[in-house]
Amino acid sequence: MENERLNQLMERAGVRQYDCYQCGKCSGGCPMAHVMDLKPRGVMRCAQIGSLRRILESNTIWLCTGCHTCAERCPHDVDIPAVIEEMRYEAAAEGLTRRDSKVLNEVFLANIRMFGKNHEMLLAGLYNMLTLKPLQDMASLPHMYKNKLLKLLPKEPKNLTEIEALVKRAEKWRGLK
Amino acid sequence: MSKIGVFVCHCGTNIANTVDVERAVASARELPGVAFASEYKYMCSEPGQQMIKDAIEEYGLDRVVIASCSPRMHETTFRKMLKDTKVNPYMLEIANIREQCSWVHTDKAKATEKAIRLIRMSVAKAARDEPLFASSIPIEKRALVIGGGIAGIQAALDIADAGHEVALLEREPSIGGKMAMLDKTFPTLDCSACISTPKMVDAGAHPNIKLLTSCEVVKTEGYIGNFQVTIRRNARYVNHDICTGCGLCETKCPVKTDSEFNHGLSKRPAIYKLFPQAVPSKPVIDKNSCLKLTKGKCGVCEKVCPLGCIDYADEDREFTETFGAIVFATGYELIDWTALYGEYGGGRYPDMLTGLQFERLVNASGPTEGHIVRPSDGKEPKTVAIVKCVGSRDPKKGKSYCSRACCMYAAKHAHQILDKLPGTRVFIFYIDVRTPGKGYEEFYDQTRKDGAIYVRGRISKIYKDGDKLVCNGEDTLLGKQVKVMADMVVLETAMTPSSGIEELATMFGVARDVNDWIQEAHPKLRPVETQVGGVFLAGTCQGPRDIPDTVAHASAAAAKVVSLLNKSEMETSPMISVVRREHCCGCGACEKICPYTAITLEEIDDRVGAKRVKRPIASVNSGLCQGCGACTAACRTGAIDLLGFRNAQILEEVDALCL
Repeated sequence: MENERLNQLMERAGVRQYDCYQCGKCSGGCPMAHVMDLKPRGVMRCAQIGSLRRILESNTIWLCTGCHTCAERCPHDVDIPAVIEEMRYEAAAEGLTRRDSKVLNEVFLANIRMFGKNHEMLLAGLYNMLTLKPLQDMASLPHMYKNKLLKLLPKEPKNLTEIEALVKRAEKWRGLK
Repeated sequence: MSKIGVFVCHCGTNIANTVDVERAVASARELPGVAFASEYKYMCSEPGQQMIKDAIEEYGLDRVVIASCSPRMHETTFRKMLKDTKVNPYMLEIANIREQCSWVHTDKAKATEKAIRLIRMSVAKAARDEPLFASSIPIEKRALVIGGGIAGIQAALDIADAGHEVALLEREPSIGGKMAMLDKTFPTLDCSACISTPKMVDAGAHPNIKLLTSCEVVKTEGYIGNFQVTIRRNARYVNHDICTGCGLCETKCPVKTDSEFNHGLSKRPAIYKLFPQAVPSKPVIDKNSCLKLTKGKCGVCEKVCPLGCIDYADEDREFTETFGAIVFATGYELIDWTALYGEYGGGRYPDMLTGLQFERLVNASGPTEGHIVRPSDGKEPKTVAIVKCVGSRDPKKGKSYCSRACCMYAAKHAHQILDKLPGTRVFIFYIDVRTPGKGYEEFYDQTRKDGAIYVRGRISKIYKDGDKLVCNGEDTLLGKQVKVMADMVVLETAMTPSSGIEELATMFGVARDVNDWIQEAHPKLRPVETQVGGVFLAGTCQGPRDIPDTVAHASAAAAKVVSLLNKSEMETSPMISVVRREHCCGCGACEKICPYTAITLEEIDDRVGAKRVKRPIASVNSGLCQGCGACTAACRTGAIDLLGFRNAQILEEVDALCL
């Protein structure tokens, strides 16, 4: 049963799990692997042995930034981000979404709706408040501000109605709402 | 009416489990022209063959159909058997009911039905078989070995020792190949030069071996026993007939250019010997860097040469010789990783070496006289990372195959570093360690005990931080990311076929596999032969392998060459193309499609009405034709027939299947 579901998800991701020969080049270069409980290689390993549950319950699928470094370097061209993407949908459908991930998503979307693009300062502030960790990452604030990675005020939004339509379409896609 | 005997084989249970053999025999008896049908457990065995012979005698059979395995397996066996009987060996058809039926099907009823149809087709074809007779061609008792590495040297020595003349051709100015560059050889750690240079000297001094260094094959014509090969000797600008190899010119030459032999780790003059132990031990001038030849000034070597050997007017020279057999020993090159691996720096960092560069670095006659130091600053490394499978086992960026030798020479490199620089930390990044060979696993085990740290994981990225090379990877056995701050990185890169192999293979009509290695005639049973008669393979031109395997392969190729050259003439397959002159329109489509250049257009005198005309028609060279049948498919008038597979016979088969 679980195996069948796993195979469906892999097929949807367009990845054959047996292409992976566990060399670890993906995890060696992954910028998030140090905080993941299952490395990208581990995701493929679990897919090979049919352990869907372990993937769905891992923090990996929520921590992956989708940078595609792993897929780019993979000698067998295994698209791990595509697998993780499918796993996110599956986990969400099963209600396995972590609260902080959910909060981040909501804050992010609200941000987009308001300003047409993400405003980092607001995102960080709201996220920290809602996850009850108000001082998280405060230490990097001066550095980011100095290097113009953060702006105090958002830019004036443009074409908000079109953006709202886009967000609605994205939400409808694959029945998220 | 023909008298056909049908013999159905059980092949133990290989066929009998999936095909109802008795039903197949019963249905074969009903076929037109079949005088006898029977079955046996193993048709290819002695009693099986005897049974066929007895049936031929008893029932006066004049042609035979054997329903068994693929003709690639036992057609020759049964042909040989028919030689002792009244039946012509070519009045034989094999219905392949194993590979093409029982092995690929599970439904017995349907498989039996298919087997019956396959037999029916073969019977229909057999009814139109005609007796064929092999002809014979004379054999020129000389061999040409292309490539002067250890494979070529070994093959040449073995053929020469058997008493046949050999020409050993090498495009570099010296024989020796890659083995001459190596420092030590695994697993015994004997010095590579100590075991290969004596062989080079032997080859150079052997009365039956003629060295053709600085030579390349330009053109070839002919066929097994009779290849006419045109060879170009590239200009050396030094008269080797009088040169004694004193070396004075090399010391005076003002030019310094990258040494190919040391893979760019040192410089050499424009007039040079490839390496000190070169055979022939005489210098040549590199026309691309010599000042006299590029700019017209200098001429120092001419002035200092005590014997006047220097000849700036020397030119490339072509000559044609005849050989009975050809041995490909063209070897390998390392893949150019710099173009493929941007994440490893793409060749920007001088302290990242390939395996062969490291061999030169650690070699006593190399650029540093064997001291392991960083090329960038000459310091001894404290930490070395060895990365395996760079370009190998990487279908996306490099080659999908395993290069076979790297696991062992990576262990050897680690051992050499630990031996010469005790206390150095050596990390070997691997995906799998493969050590199938005598003494290999023990060597790997010893290297681990010497202190080499094996980390299972492919390196993801290498970048420079200060004067360190940072290697990011995962220790997959721990499931943790690792970062090695290395002073030097050795990349064990994939073997690829030598440059120029495409042209050479095309010239001889030899097939290449998907990775451009030369395709052997059969992966297990004919590993040193090609599909082209008289062309043999030695060493890494056929696929990656290490020195022991290369030498064994080369000796095997030599044995094949010797058994060919020992005959004064040889039988050729009679299954070749024939042209019906009256049907041929002279369009030349067959000439273009023939992969063996066996077809040429010749002019004949003909009559159109009352007028005498000259017109071209196709003509088949029976020595070159390998019976592939491409021409028969290309011929628009159906004028070409392949004997044994005449168009009429194929149509009979189709009729038997469909009507």
